[in-house]
Amino acid sequence: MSQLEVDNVGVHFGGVVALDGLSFSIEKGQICALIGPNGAGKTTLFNVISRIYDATTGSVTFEGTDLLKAAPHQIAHLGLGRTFQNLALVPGLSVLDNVKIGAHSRSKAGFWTSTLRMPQVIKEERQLTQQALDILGRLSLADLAERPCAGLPFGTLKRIEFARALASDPKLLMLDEPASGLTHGEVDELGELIQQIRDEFQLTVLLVEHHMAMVMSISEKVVVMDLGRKIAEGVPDQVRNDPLVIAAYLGAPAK
Amino acid sequence: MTANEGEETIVSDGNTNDTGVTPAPNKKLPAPTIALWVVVAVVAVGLPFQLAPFRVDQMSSWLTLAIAAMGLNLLTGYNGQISVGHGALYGLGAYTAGLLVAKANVPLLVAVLAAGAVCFVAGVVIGLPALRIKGLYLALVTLAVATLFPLAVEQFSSLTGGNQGLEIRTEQMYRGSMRPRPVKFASPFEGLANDQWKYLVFLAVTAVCFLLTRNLIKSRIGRAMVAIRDNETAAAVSGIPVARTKIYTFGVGSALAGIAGGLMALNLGTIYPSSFTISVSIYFLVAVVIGGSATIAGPIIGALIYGAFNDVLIPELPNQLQPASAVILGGLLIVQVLIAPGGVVGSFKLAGSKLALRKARAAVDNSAAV
Ligand SMILES: Nc1ncnc2c1ncn2[C@@H]1O[C@H](COP(=O)(O)OP(=O)(O)OP(=O)(O)O)[C@@H](O)[C@H]1O
Ligand SMILES: [Mg+2]
Repeated sequence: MSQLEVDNVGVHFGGVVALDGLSFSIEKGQICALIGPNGAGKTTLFNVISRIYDATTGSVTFEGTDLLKAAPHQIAHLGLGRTFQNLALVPGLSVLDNVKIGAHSRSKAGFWTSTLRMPQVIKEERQLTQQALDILGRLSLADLAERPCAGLPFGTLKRIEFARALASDPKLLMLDEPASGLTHGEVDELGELIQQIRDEFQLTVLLVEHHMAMVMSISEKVVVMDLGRKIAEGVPDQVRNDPLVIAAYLGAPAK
Repeated sequence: MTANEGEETIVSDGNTNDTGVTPAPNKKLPAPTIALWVVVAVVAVGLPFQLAPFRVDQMSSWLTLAIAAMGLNLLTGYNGQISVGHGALYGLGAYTAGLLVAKANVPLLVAVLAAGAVCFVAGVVIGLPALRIKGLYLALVTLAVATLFPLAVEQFSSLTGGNQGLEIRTEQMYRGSMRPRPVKFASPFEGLANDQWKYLVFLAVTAVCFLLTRNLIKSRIGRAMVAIRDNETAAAVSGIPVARTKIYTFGVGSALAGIAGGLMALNLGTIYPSSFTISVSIYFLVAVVIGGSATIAGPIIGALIYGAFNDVLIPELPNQLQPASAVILGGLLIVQVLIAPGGVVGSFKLAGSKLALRKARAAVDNSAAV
């Protein structure tokens, strides 16, 4: 059984068919890219998996659990972390606290123990801080730890989201256009970083990205979508030369 | 396949110090902060011994305002659930404690705690529909609750005394026999007047409420509350149970209002439906805004400023200006929102971070000059 199985997922917004019977699966430890022209439905799929959108048809199974039956906040507890194409940070909190928010699903202190600030609360809080600082250091964000998120550049905010997703210690990391807002050199670094982190922590990565050089160099599997449907699937070299893929990209408005 | 199979921690535990790791900042309190708290404590405890009894009574009521404002700050400031109905919960707390003491002779502090518990439950009940309504709509619904509360008290006049008021009397030894007498916090110490003792009890309750609220705000639950306020999607995706957290916050914020109301009832001795009109809810909001919304100390500072304005400053004004006190307050509020939208604490924080920035810039300039 694959780690993530997307089976015949359909999503409609009124008359718009955003996803139309989409099926694919990802093996544990893979870096799988999900590509396609603008409006193909990539972000919609992320939102279905995160339980932000309801699927009209189909099922999504993660390690045997039916995700579409879970509440939105349970998804993180099951081991799925994600970033957002258009950012979803907490402007009222510091960078460090935003990363600590990511660790919510694997920390325990409850309402009453927190109110009483029991010793285990203090201990857990200290660990969370240390772990968040480690992750920030890893992503070269350590200097920003105490700053409020508001006012930082887009590329930096995307990296903070990456840090937040990592803080949940996910089994499957879903990145929605992590390279947007980055310079060429930074894109290469990001590609390497994604591979390193995957290797080190043995996680699975589902990557949505328009940056083809990065997609082709780090992915083991590529799923190509157009108009809510899967049009091709395979290793990068197969997909690159697929006539349907070429047609979809050439036919689509230039990005 | 087990859920934990292959699960690895992505981060080192707090003890290892790998290369490139920034150590967690040392959380010991800096000396000026400790000094400030010592001064605050000395002044707070010392004041009743310097002031006339009626002032001490007024300060006791400022403290109840502070506790209620802390609750509202949790709910509206930190969690973003706009409530204009906090006065109703304050009133519910007041009548709960008042009735328990007057009808069942419950010990005073127990009655106050019970008022907190009742309001916690009431807050949860109001918090449930509040999950479906947000922002201005929630403000409107809570406004309705605040408006209805005094009417409800009148409705149940057989229990509450209606417009005649609820006189809180307890059995006390008087002239050699036990008789019902107006409720009082009897000082257990010789040389400590009842009003001083009452103030100190209120101060202790305020301090405990402050510490517990502060603990909550600084915890992972406090972060979750802010995350929900700023971005519910981000909160849910990070595993925060949005609905449960909002309901709990509504409960805790209301419990604080209930404790405050309970103390207030015992402070006044007699309570009327007209003591809990919509304007009370507005005063709580005013205290939060003056002191600094979503700051830990803001509501207390705001409550003290508001109390001093109302009880000390306004009576000093010439008689013909007295009726205009609400207008004066409104005018001052507009000025404050324009020049210091973050309230007292927010402004200090802003000034502090500007200073830090200037220092950092100066350091950079200096090193560049070398
Ligand atoms: N909340 C929504 N309401 C209505 N339509 C939506 C909504 N979200 C997405 N859509 C539509 O669904 C389709 C797929 O959008 P989606 O954002 O998933 O595309 P995408 O592949 O992520 O594109 P891009 O590369 O531009 O990010 C589009 O036609 C979009 O307009
Ligand atoms: Mg998208």
